[in-house]
Parts: sequence; structure tokens; C-alpha cells
Amino acid sequence: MVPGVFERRETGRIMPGGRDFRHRGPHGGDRGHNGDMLNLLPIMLVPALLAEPLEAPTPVDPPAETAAKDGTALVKSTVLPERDAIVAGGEFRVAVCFRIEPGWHIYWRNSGDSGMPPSFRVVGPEGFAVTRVDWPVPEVFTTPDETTFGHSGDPAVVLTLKAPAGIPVSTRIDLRIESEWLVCKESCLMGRRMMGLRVPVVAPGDGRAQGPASRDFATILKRLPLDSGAIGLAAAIEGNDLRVTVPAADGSRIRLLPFETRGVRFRPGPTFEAVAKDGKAEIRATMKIEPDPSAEGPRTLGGLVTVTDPTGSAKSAEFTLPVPEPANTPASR
Amino acid sequence: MKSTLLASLALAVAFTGVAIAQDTAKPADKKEHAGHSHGKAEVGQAAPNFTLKTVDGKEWSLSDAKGKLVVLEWINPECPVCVRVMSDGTVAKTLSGVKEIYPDAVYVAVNSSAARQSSLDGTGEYMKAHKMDLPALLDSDGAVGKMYGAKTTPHCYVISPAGTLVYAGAIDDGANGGAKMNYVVNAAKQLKAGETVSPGETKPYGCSVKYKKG
Repeated sequence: MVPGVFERRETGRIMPGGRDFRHRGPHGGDRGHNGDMLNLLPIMLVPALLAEPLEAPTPVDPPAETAAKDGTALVKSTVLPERDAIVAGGEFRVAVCFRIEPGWHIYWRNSGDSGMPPSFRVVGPEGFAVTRVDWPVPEVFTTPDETTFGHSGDPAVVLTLKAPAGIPVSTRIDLRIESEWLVCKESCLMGRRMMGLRVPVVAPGDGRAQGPASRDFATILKRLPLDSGAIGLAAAIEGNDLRVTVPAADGSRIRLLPFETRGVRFRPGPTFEAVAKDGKAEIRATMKIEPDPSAEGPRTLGGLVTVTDPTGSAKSAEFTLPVPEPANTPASR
Repeated sequence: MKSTLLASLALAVAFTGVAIAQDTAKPADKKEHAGHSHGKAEVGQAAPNFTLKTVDGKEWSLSDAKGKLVVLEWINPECPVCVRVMSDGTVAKTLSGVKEIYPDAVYVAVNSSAARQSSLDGTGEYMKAHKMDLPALLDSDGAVGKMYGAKTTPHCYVISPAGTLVYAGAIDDGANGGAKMNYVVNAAKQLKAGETVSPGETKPYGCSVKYKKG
């Protein structure tokens, strides 16, 4: 083994167990919970350039101390790649697969009246970044005081990552993705885990980096919302209203869960509902749009629309729209 | 708020208030609002007065801070998000940032999480442990929290020296860390500059306020 590279488990499968993570040091010693990881950080953040034959992506053990206490133990998480290899400069997808203790839940991209969504961050190697996050259809949790959106059971969030250009072919990358979450039942706990994935780099055109997703990954993709066109969903901004229309059988229930966009507030929210009549349904959600001085580019707003027909069958699709920037505001003067 | 009509009225009040009536509402008056006001807090409108007991058993009324900028932060010592913003210095920086702009500003912590007696009981110790010498109020029946629409801990409100609620929402935009904007300090800064506070409302993040059930 190259010093500082996390050892592959014999099972070839990661199952982070919170504080059970163990790091094998250069000499094979078990550094355990409070190992001296600081000395290894510079090495950890560098791509692993290995001369060994390329293998399929392999989940690897993260450093022990990155597994925080409390909410970490309630939520297991692993990384599942879409394909067997990546290409330098290309985009690729991985799923962060959660397994949440029964009775507890984490939150969707818009948590609703309270909560906060999990975060996802590529810690290393340098140059890799998350460019898109696709969330599964959430559950709606309602109490007399609030409505929140989240996930229980075993949700999987799909991350699109961009690889830096210039990574040599035939090397392997030790990817480290950190996720932090708020997990709640009657009370809430924070959890955090660093997840590892060792993935080979291949030349453009290599079949291992393209083609159909793995079977497990394809199952995860099926749990994501459809594109708006798949259900005939149309959305437009009309003044201060977001207008959403969708064809649906009479009596179908339509529900809009807006995404969270900085500076855009929906009233009253957090959900908007309608019942289909004459073969279609329409929802008008009133917004207040304020400038976002810290926006780094054009803003988009969007939402998830679920159509549940009278038989109980449901389809969900999402849409995004550019945010019309407000005029005559301090930020725009 | 379930009917369209009511929703429209509420929106008209809230939105028009933010855009036009910023800081023009009458300040809360203790004599007019003994105990709890009946109205709901709305950005752009006069902040409803209230009186609560501090962890030391003293009475504290919003009207006591008449003429000063007031920041209300809903807290819960048992919420890890609250603990995080306290421990990582976010609250201290918010306090110092506001005091730089309004030296006599009053920063108040409110705990409405009465569903957990341990939360209320631990409030004083929590403030001491984080060296925050602030009024810490116990909203045992949740009436003030509900009047202000407090949803999360933390959930922050900024009230102008004239008594107008000018901001309601998250303490900053760093739900997952790495905040770029502290909304509370931003509100104080814009208020001082005579600008419309923008954003006047944001979605707060954190644990739900554990209101007393029933």
C-alpha cells in the first residue's frame, strides 16, 4: 500500500458505522478514533497515483475522527458510483445512500417550516467539485405547528461531480465526500460523515466511464422526480405569482413544493395544493422576490409537483425557471 | 390563513409594509400593550409588545427597549443547530456586528420550547456556559413565539428603534456553514443607512420550536 492511502476492505464494500471507522496508517497500525490524522492530511488531499492495475470503484474507509457523534450513529451513509470509472475533466455521478434509523428523518432540499437540508462537499482531492444535486421525492411531515419535507428509510441523493482536467489515465482517485445532516424525530441531532470512494481514471471513450448506469444506480435514478415534460407540467412567473399547470384526471390532487431560492419567499406555503377539474389543475403561489446581493450568477427558482390521481397513483416532476430580478431595490440601484 | 382571501390580505399587508411602510409604524407602547399584544408580528408593521420573565425571574417587556434596536433570537439549549451557532461564534459576531452599528442595541434570547421542561430549565446555564450576558426569556406557554411566528431555533427578528419589525428569518445564510451574509447585521446596517431592509424575510433553519402541546 502507498502510505496515506486508505486500505480497501476485504469485503470491497463500505459500511460506515459512525465511530467504527478505522484508518490504517503507513505501517498498518489501527489509528482508531483519535489517531494522529493531522500528519496525514497533506497526503490525503492528493490524488492517489498508483501503479496497480485499474479496478472498479471501491468504497474506502474515511478517517475516524470525521465521524461526528450523536446524529451520525442514527444515519448510515455510503457512496455508490454510477459507473466503474471516470474521465479527466468530465462529469460523473455518485449517489449518497442513507439508511436512517426508523422513526427519524433527514430533510429535503427545502426543509419546510423548520429543519435544514444535508450538505454535500468534496473534501478531496483538490479540483473535484459538486456541480449538481438531485434529490428524491420527499415525504411531507405535518404537525399542528408545522409542515416539513424530508426523507426517512433509505433515501439516496445523486451528486454530479466534475473531475479536474489533467488527471493521468490509469491512476486511481481517492475521492472524499463529506455530508452533514440534521436528523430529527421529536428532537434533533446533527450528524456528519466523511465517505470515501476509490475510482479509476480511464481515457475518454473507455466503456467503463460511459454507457448505462449500474443496476443499483438505475434503481436510485427511478426514485428521482421526472422532468416537467414527462407529465406535461408547465410553469411560469406572472407578476408576483408562480403559476403551475398540469393535465390531470378530474379529482386528481396536485401538490407543489417549491424549492428554496435565496431571496424568494412563498406565501403562505410551504405547500400549495389544488384538485384537477376539466382535465387539468392549476396552482398559483404568491411570491415575494428580493435581491440576493451574494448571488454568484443568475438565480433560478423551481419546485416539485406531485400529481396523485383518484386511484392513488402518483407521479412527481420538477421544474426550474429564471428568477426575474426585482427592480428599484437597493441592490439594483 | 387557509382561505385565499385571508392569504391575500396577509400578503398585501406584509409586502406593502416592507416596501413602503418600513420603519414608519408606531413603536410598541407598554401602556397600550400590557401583557401580550393580540396581533401577529408582520415585517413592516409595529412589533407587538410582550412581557416575559427572564431566567432570573425578572420581568422584561419589549417596550422597555423603546428607542433601541432590538434583536430577538429564539433559542433552545437542546437544539444542536442553536448550540452550533452559539459555539462557532455566529451569535457573538452577530451581537458585536449589531452593536457596532447600534451601540445601545438590545439582544434578547427567547426560549419557547416548553414541550421540554429541561430546555427551559437549562436556559440560564446555557447562556452562562457560552458567556452570553443577555436577557434570556422563558416563553412557557409559547404565546410570544406563536405571536412572532417563530418556527425554528435559531429564528431571528430585528426591531427598529421606532418599534417596527424590519427583519424576520435566519440568522445568516449559512445553514450548512460558510455563511456569506449575516442577515441580522445586514438589517441593522441597512436600517442605519436609511435603506429598505432587504431581505426583510428569509426562511429560518434549525430545529423546530418545541411548543408546549395542547
